[in-house]
Amino acid sequence: MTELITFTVVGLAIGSIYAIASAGLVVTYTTSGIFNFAHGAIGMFTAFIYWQLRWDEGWGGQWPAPLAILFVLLVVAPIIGIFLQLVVMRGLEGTSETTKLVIPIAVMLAFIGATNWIWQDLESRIPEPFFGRQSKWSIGNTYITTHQTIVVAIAILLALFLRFLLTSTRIGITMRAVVDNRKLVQLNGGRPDRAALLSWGFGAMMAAVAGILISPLLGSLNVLALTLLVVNAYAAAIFGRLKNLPLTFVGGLAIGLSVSYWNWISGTGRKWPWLSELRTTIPVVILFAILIVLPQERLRGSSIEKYKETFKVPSIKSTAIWGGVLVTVISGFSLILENKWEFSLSKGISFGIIGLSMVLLTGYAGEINLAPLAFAGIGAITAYQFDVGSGVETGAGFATLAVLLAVLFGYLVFPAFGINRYKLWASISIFAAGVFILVTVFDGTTGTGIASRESMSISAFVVAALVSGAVGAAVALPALRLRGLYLGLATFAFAIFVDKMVYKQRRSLSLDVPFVGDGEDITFNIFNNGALNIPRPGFWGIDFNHNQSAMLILLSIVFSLISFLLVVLRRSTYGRQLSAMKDSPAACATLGLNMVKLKLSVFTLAAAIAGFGGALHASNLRAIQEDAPFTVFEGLALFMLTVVGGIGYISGALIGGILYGTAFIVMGDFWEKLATDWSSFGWLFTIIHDFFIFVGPAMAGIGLGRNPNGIASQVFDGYRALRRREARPILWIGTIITVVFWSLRVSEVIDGWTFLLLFFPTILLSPLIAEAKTKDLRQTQTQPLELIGIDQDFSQEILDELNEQLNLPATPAKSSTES
Amino acid sequence: MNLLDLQNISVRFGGHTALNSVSMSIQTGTITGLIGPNGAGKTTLFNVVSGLQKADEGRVTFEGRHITGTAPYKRAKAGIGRTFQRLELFPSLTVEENIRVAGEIRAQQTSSRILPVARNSIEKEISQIMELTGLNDFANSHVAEIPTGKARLVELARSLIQYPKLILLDEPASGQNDLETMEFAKTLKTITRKGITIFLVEHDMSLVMSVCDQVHVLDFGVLIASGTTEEIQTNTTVIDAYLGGET
Repeated sequence: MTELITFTVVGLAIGSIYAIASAGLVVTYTTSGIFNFAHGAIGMFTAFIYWQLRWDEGWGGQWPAPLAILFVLLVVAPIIGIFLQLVVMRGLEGTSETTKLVIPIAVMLAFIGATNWIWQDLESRIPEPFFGRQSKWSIGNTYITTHQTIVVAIAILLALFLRFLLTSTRIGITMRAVVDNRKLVQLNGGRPDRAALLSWGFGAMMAAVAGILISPLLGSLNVLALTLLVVNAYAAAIFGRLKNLPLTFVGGLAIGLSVSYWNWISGTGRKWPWLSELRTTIPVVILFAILIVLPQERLRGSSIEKYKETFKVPSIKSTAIWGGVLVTVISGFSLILENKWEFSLSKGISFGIIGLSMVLLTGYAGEINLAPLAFAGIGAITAYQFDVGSGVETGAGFATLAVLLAVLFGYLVFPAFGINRYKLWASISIFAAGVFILVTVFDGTTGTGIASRESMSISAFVVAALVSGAVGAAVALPALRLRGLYLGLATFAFAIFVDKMVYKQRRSLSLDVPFVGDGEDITFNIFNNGALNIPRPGFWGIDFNHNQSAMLILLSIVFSLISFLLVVLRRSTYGRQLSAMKDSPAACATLGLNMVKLKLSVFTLAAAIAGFGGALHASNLRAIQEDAPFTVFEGLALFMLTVVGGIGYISGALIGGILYGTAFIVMGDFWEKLATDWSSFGWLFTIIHDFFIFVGPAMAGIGLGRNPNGIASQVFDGYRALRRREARPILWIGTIITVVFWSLRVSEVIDGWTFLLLFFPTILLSPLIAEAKTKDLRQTQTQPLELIGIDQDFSQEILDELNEQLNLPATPAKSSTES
Repeated sequence: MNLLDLQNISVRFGGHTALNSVSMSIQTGTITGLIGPNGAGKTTLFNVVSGLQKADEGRVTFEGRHITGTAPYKRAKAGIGRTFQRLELFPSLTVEENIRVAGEIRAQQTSSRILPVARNSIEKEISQIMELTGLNDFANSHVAEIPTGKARLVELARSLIQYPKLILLDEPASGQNDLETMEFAKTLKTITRKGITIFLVEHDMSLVMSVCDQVHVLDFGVLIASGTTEEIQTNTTVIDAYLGGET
C-alpha cells in the first residue's frame, strides 16, 4: 500500500509536468495551426537559463528562487515565444505539411545548438528541487517532497487559470474562435494575429514552467535528455487531439502514472533487462498507440494555398548523364583532395544516399518520415550482425534468414507494381533465389566461421536493406491511415523508440532459424557495449580499408545508381501513382487505387534504401555509437537539410547530405584554421566557427526551409543559361579551364588553396557570363513586328525601329512610362 | 433495372443534419440530375455513394450488391466513377498523365484477372478519350496551368478512361462558358450512348433540363421532389425552394 501511494505520488507529480507542457503545446497549436516541435527545446533552454540565474556560482548566478523564476517566466519565455511567432512562425499557415514541420524542427535544433554553444563546457549542472532534497512531509508512511507538492499545485492552478482565460475573458474567447475559423474571426473584427502572439508567449511560458519543474528530477542538466523529457508531453497533447485542454491534462497525468507504475512493476527496469529502457520509452509508445487509434479525418484533397511545390522530373537520359558527371567529378576530386576532406565528402555523399530514401517517400509520395536515421541505424546494425558480430552456429541459418526476408520484401513491394497472383509468386521466387545466390556466392555463409572478418561482404548490405525494409513496413502498417503531422509524430515516436530500445540494448538475442541447425542458430549482441566497429566493404580485391578515394568513388557510384533507379521509378506507372496519391488521396480512392499496397510498398522501399545507405555510412565511418550518428535529433537535422536541399529532387538529397555531412564541418574547419593563423582576430573567428558548428544547420533550416522546392531548383535555374545552345562555347571553355586548373593541382604546380581560389570563381561565374551573353543574343534577334510590346517592353530603340519600318516620322524621346 | 439504390441515407455533422433519410434510385443507361440550393447536401450524397463519407444510417446498393460499408477504391473497381466540385486533380502530373494514371490503375486490375492489357491499347484509349473531351491541345500542359472549365474535363476524362458503369459528375459545367456547356451537353449524350449511366449535380438549369431523364431535388438534406424534367419544372415546392418563381 505504501508503495502504491509512493509511486502514485511520483506519477502524479511527473504527470502534472507533462500536463503543463502539453497544455502549452495545445494552446499554441490551436491558435496558430503550427505544431511547435521546438516546445521541448524551449523548456530545456529556459531550464538552463533558470539554472544559470539560480545556481551557477559564476556569471549571473545565485539569484533568489522567486526572482529567478519570475524573470524566466515573465521575461525570457514570453520574449522567446513572441519572437518566434513574429519572426519565424507567422506566415506558415497555408503552406505544405512538410514546411509546417520543418520550420519548428529547425527552431528546435537551433535551441539545442544554442544551448550546447552557450553552455559548452562539460561542467555538471545540478538543479536542486524547491526547498532542497530533504524538504518533505508524510502521509502515513509515505513521504511526499515539497517539490512534488508544488508541482501538483501549479498544475491545478494553471488548469483553473486556463479554464478561466478561455471561457471568461475576451482574449481567451478570441483564441478559441481562431481555432474554429480564423478567417471568420478576422471578418468579425477580431485580431487573430494578436491572439496567436499571446498564445505563443503563453505557450513558451508553459514550456518554461515544465522545464524548470522537471529538471531537478534528471540529476544533472543534459540538453537532449531534458528536451526529450518535455517531448514526452506530446503524447498528452495528441490525447487531447490538440484542442481539448481537459483531455490533455488527463492524458498528461495518465502518462505520468503509467511511467511510475511501470517503474514499480519492473523494479525500475531491473526485472526484465530486455525492457529496461522501456521506462523512458513508455510516453512515445503511448504516443504511437494514440495516433493509431485516434479517429482520422476522412480522405482529403489538397488544401495547400501558398508556396506550392513544383518538382520537375528529370528525364532518364539526363539522370544517367548527370550520374556519370558526378562520378567523374568525384573521381577527379579524389586525386587532389587530402584524406581528411575525402572522408568528409564521403560522409556527405553517404548521407545523400540516406537522403534518397526521403526523396522517394516524402518528395515523390508525400509521406513524411521523421525517422530516416532510425532505419539507417537498423541497417548498419544488421550489416554488422550479419557479417561480423555474431556467434554463428551455421552459415546456412543466415542464408535461410536472407531468403525469408527476400520473400517478405517481395510480398510487400511487388503487388504495388501490378504484379499479382501466380506472377507475384514467380517474381518473389526469382528475387529470393537471387538473394540466396548472392548471399552464398559473396559470403560463403554455407560454412562456418565468418565471424570477426576484416571486411564487409556485399550480402551484408543487401540483408541490411531487406531488414530495414521489413522494419519500415512494420512501422508503416499500423500508421497507414496517418498523414502529415500525425505521420510525422508517429515516425518521430519510432525514432525515439529506436534510440532507447535498440541503441541502448545490451542483451544478446538468439534466433532459431527453422529447419536449420540445432536450436540457437544465430546469437548476437545487438549493440555491444554501445559501440560497434564496422568494417569497410571488401570485394574484387579493392582495398577500401586504407583507400579513402576508393570508398568515396564507391559511394558516388552507389548514389548515382540509386538516383537513376529512382528516376526510372518516378517515370513509371508506379511513380505516377505515387504522385497521384501525394496530390489527392481522395481522387485516388475514387479511381480504384488501393493505397494500402502502395504506401506499404513505398515505405518498405524507402526504409530499404535508408538501411542500405546507413550500412554504407557506418562502414565509411568504421564505427557507430549509441549516441552517433543515427539518433533521432541527427535524423531530424538530415530531414531538415534535405528539405532545404529540395526533397523532391535527387540532387536535393545530395545537397542535403553534403550540407549535413560535409559543408558545415568544412566551414567550421576553415574558420578554425583562420583563428589559429590570425590569433589577434582569433576570438572573432572562433565565434564564427562555433556559429557554423552549433547552429549553422538550424539557421539554414529556418532561413531556407520555407521554399518547398529547395536549393536544388534554384541551382537548376541559375545554371539553366549554360544549357542554351548559344552558351555552349562558354560551357566548353569553363570545363576546359576547370580541367586545366585540376591538372595543375594534380601535377602539384599549384597548391590546394590556389586551386579552390581558381575553381570556385569559374564555377560561379560561368552561368552568369552565359546568362549575360544569351540575353545579348536574344535581344539582337529580330522580333516579329506584331509581338513587339507583347513579348517585350517598348523601348525608345524599338519605337525608333518601328517608325523606321513603318516609314513614320521619328517619335520625340519621352519618358519610358509610355507603353 | 436500378443501377444504384439509396435507402434512407442520413448523414450528420455534429448537430447539423446534412442528409435526412434520403432515398432514391438511378436507372441504368439514364442521365439523372440532382439539384438543390447550396448546402442542400448534394456533394455529401455523392460522397456517400463513392464511399468518401460514411452514412450514419441507410443503405447503398449498387447493381443489387450491398456496398454501404465498402472502401472507396473497391466501389471504384465495381464501376462507380466520379468528379469533384472542388477540383481534385494531380497537379504534379500533366493532363495526359492525369488520364494515363487512371487508365493504368484500371489496366493493373484487369491484367490480374485475365490477360495483360496491351501497351498500345492504353495509348489508344487515352487518345480516344482526349479526342472525346477535346483535350488534345492541352496534353502536355500541367493541370495547374489550364482554365477551370478544361480542368473539369480532365477530371471527366480521367474517370471515363476507367469505363465506369456509373459516373457521378459534381458541377462539371461550372467554369465553362455557354458554348462550352453546349458542347458538354453533347459529350454527355455521347457518354450515355457508350453505356455509362450519369448522375449529375449541376446549377446550370438549362443543361440539367436539356439532358436529364430524371431529376431529384434536395433541400436542407431532405429530398423534396423526384420526377421527369417537366414534372420538376412545374412542381410548386421545387419552385419555392430553388428554381424561384416568375419575377
